[in-house]
Formats: sequence, structure tokens, C-alpha cells
Amino acid sequence: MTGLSIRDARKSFGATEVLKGVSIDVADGEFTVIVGPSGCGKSTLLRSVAGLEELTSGHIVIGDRDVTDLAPSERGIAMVFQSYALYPHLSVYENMAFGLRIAKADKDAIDTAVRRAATILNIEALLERKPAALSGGQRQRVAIGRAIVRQPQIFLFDEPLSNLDADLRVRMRYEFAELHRKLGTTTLYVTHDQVEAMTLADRIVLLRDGRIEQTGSPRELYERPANIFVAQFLGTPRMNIVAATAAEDGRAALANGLRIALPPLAKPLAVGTPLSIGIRPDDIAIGEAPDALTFSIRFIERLGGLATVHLGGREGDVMLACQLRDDGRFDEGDRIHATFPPALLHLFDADDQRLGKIGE
Amino acid sequence: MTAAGRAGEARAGWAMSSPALAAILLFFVLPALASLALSFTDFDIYALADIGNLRFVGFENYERLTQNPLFWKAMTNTLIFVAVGTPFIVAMSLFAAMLVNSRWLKWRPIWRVALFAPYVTTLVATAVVWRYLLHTRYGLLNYLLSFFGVPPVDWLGSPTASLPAILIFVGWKTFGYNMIIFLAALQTVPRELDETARIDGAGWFARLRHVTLPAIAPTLLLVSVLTVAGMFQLFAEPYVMTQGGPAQSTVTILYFMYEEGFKWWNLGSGAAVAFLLFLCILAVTLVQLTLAKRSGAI
Repeated sequence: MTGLSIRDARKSFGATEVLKGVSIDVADGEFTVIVGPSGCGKSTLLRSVAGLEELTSGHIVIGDRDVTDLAPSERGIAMVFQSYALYPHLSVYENMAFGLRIAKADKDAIDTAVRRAATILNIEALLERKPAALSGGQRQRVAIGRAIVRQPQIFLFDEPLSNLDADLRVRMRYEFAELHRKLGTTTLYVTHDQVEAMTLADRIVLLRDGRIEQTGSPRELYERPANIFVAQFLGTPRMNIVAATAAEDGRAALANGLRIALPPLAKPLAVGTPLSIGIRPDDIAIGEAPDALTFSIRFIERLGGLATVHLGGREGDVMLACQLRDDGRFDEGDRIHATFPPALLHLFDADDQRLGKIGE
Repeated sequence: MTAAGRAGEARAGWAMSSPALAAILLFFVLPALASLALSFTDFDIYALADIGNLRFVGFENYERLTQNPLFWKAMTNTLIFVAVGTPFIVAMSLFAAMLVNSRWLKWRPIWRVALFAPYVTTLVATAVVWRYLLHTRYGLLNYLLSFFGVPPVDWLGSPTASLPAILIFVGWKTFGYNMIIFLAALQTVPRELDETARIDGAGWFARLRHVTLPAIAPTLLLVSVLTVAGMFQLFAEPYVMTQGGPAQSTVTILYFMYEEGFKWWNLGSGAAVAFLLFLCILAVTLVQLTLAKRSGAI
């Protein structure tokens, strides 16, 4: 098994710089997910690792080999595409055997490798079928099987679940996790879906505009987002961000004059410093409390067990989303008391960067 | 839908397609049948003057054709054009399309236009240019060949070189059309398929064989059928360049038909040639379709 190291990768298409110096180290056997909004450069990065795009500058090292200038087939990688990219005129067996046949591997060795991969993915019964006769999920499995047969050092996945329906996506997500546990191969996985990133990754790399915003475990990114972009990208509904200024007694004043208590910060703020306060919708506590603020319910999105309740401030200039158990207690127009537990608040400075709390 | 509704819909369908069907019937089916009927008569210049001179002669036209050495010469020449020209032109078109489709080629629209231009240029004008290119003493082709130590070839004057010369001219003139069709097909081949094959270690030829050709197989068949039909009906090129010569080495079946019909005014015999040509094209096309079906292309 082998790790992967991307060093200061830059890529331009004409005058457009898509990757602006990305460095990532993926440890041996690690499942790393690159996530980010459309156009952030995540697919370009993956394709550069595969050798399908040439970097403008920078290096890609797999194991201890610099593969920057090697052909895709010489890099020891296997890639699974969103569109599966199965050869339509070949059977499932032939699709999976294709790479080894090109490499002129021994017939028995090919057969063993294909059947082993088919067993792992539970597709033995499909081997004689053509891709057109398979469902989306089956095709995806064959595409993964084809990758396994190559016994790569690194697996590359480019939005592999995006073409599947919601139900199947959940199931395949579980299978991906299961597969990674079984094979332990170093994996680089690209997605725009934060749920996939949170559930699959050992480590998440969050990209925006060709730059890394933050790298870390899903928990780290969720609990200590480095900036407002990361804070709002992960988690649904997204984190509430409210503009405020630092006030006396470790409190902050919201735009409408309301005051809330802040957690103790590593570097205390001078009174009057502008800041942004973030709180996740499920961290807002509802109910009577000495320092509770009063809001009115503007709108409720009922999701079954849970409901997203949109709260408006007194003067209507603060809007917050709050996630609650939907037990029928609330209705639109009701007044509601909410508290913001200081320990659960995230604070950001005027440049949107995180202000560290004591102990972080 | 009720039975009456269905009948109404069918009536509307027939009404809307009838103008097109009428045109096909009038300008295609009727003349074809008339020509078939004509091939069993001795329709000639005398019958043109007075239809009373027209006689039914049964298969006599066909019998006479089989005894005419020039007919067989024309047939052989045409089959050579079909057998050699089709693969030559299809390969050339596909190669040009792949070239124009490749990502590293710059100014692709200009290349597309340049390569398509011969197809839309007037045949007679280009034939004049090609006569110069193929000229024994001053021609560019012989000049280029001289670098490889090849002595000057009398392209249009030698019975052995004239057919290849016409073939080169026809290929140059027509490949642009096929190229555009191939280009459209190539642009529908998913890029990921090619990339997967590259990751699998497939070289250029393996990718062509395993990815590109299977993906464009239906188009390949279409272009082959069109090219075969075009080769069978080769007429203008030898007519302009060599008038069938030298020593009838470039007489094609259509050129022979033209001479029978409009030089010697044996229109009945010409019609018989046309019908035989139709049978040839039909037979070869059926063979192509069968082969394509068997190989799973369609």
C-alpha cells in the first residue's frame, strides 16, 4: 500500500487558473474526500492525479515515485467516473478484464482477478451481461470492479454516486465504506455532496476557487470550521451567521440591539470589534430561560420527525433557522424563546476567519 | 383511443405524408419502374421519333450486354473502384475526422473548412487543377515522388496508372463529406471511455479498436454504404479527367451506361445497365447490413 502526495499543484486553462497551489498528503490506506462547490477545481485535481490533465506546475508523488510526468497507466491508479464509462460493446467480464488483457496478463490470472473482484462486489451473476442490461447501481459496481481488478495503489473516484437515485446513493455509500474497510486501499474521492464527504471520509479536503479552505477529519471541520465558508458548507440546514459587535462583559450586541453571551476567547475582543456569530440550527435551545430571546416563527419546513423552524427577530432583521423535533408544539406565527449556549457558538472576525475559543 | 379516433389519426397521418409520398412516387418509383420496363424494349433514337418503332425484346438487351467485352471491362473497373476506393476513402475520412477532432490540433474550424472544401468545389474546376497536379512533367505528385527515386508516372496517359489517379482524385473530392459525418459521430463518443482506456494502458490503436470504432459502428456502416453506392455510380470524374481512357481503363459502369444511352442512343440497353447496377448496389448493401448485424454494430 502507498500514500499520495500532491505538492503545490497549479493548473491553468488559458488565462483561467483552476488550481492555485494545492498541497495534500494522503496517508497510506486513508480515505480522503475532496469536497467543494461546482467549479472549485476538485475534478481537475483528481484528473491531474490520474494523469488525464497535465499540471501547469507542481508535483504528484505516489508512494516514493514522482509520477507527474508518467502516463495514466503507469501511475498505479484506477479511476471510477460519474458516468461509469463502461465499454458498451463488451460484457461485464470483458470490461473488468480489459486492463489486464491490454497488459497481456496470463489468461488464468485474469480470470482469477475478475472473479475475485466480482465476488467482493457481489456481481458474479452479471458477468456475461452487457452494460446496457444493467441498472445504474449494477453499472457502478462493475466500474468499481474494473478498478479493483487493476489492483491499484490508489483509487480515484470522481463523483461516483451522483448519477444514482437518492435511495441507491445511501446504499452505495455504505458499500463504499465497507469496501474501503475490506481493501484498505488509499482512496481519493471527489464529490460536491457534503453528506458523502462527512460519512465516508477519514479526512476531508474542502476546496474553493482552486484553493484549500480547510483539511481535517469530518468532526474537526464540523466542530471547528476555519472560516464562515467551511462552517456553512458542512451541515444541513447550514449554520446561522449573524453580524454583531463585541460589547462589554464578554457579550455581543446584535444589529437589532439584542445581546448574547459569548464563549471565552483565546484573544479577548476590544469593545466595538465587528464579528460574525455562527450557531448550528440544532444547537439553538428552545424554551424559557433567564437570558432567552423572543422570536416569532416565520415559517416551518416539516420533514417528518424533524422540522426546520425559521425564526424572525423582533424587528425582523435577524433570521435564524433552527432544527427541532416536530411534535406539533409550534405553528407559524407563534412566539418562541430561544437561547444560544455560549459553548456552542462559533465566532468569526471581519475577514470571516475563526476566532479561537479558549482551549482550541 | 376509440377506433374512430384511431382511424381519424391514421387519415391525418396519410394526409400529411401524402405530398412527400406523391413526390417520391412521381420522381423516383415511376421512373425506376419505367426504366425497368424500358430495359425490355429496343427503345432508341427511332423510337424517340416515333413511338410506333418501339418493340418488346424480352431479355435481349441483357443477353447482348453479357456478350459485350466493354460491359465486362466497365464492370471490372467499377468493382475495383468499389473494392479499393471504399476502404481507402472511408479510412481517409475517418483519419481526417479523428485529426480534426483531436484536442491538440489548433485552429480546428479552419481545418474543418479546408478539408471539407473539396467536396463543395465544382468538379470540373478541381479536375483542371488535378490534371496539372498529375501532369507527367510538371505535376506536383511526380515531383514529390521524385524525392523517393520514383521515375515520372504518366498518371492519366497510362492504362495502369489512370485508375489509381482517378481514385486519388475521387478520394480527395469526397472524403470531406464523410469526414463531417464521422466528426459528428466522434463527438458523441464519451470522453471518459477514452480516458478509462488510457488508464487501462490502451495505446492509440487499442483505443481506436476497442473504444472509438465500436462507438461509431453505426456511422461507419452508414458511411460505407454511402461510399459503396457512390463508387458504383462513379461517372463525372472519369468523364472529365480521362473520358474513360486510356484504352478504356477508366470506363465505369455508369460511364458505359451513359455512352450506351446518350452516345449510341441505345436507351433500352442503357436502361438494362441501370437495372443491373441497381441490383449490384442492392446486393452489396445487403451483404454490408448482414455483416454489420452479425458483428453487433446495429
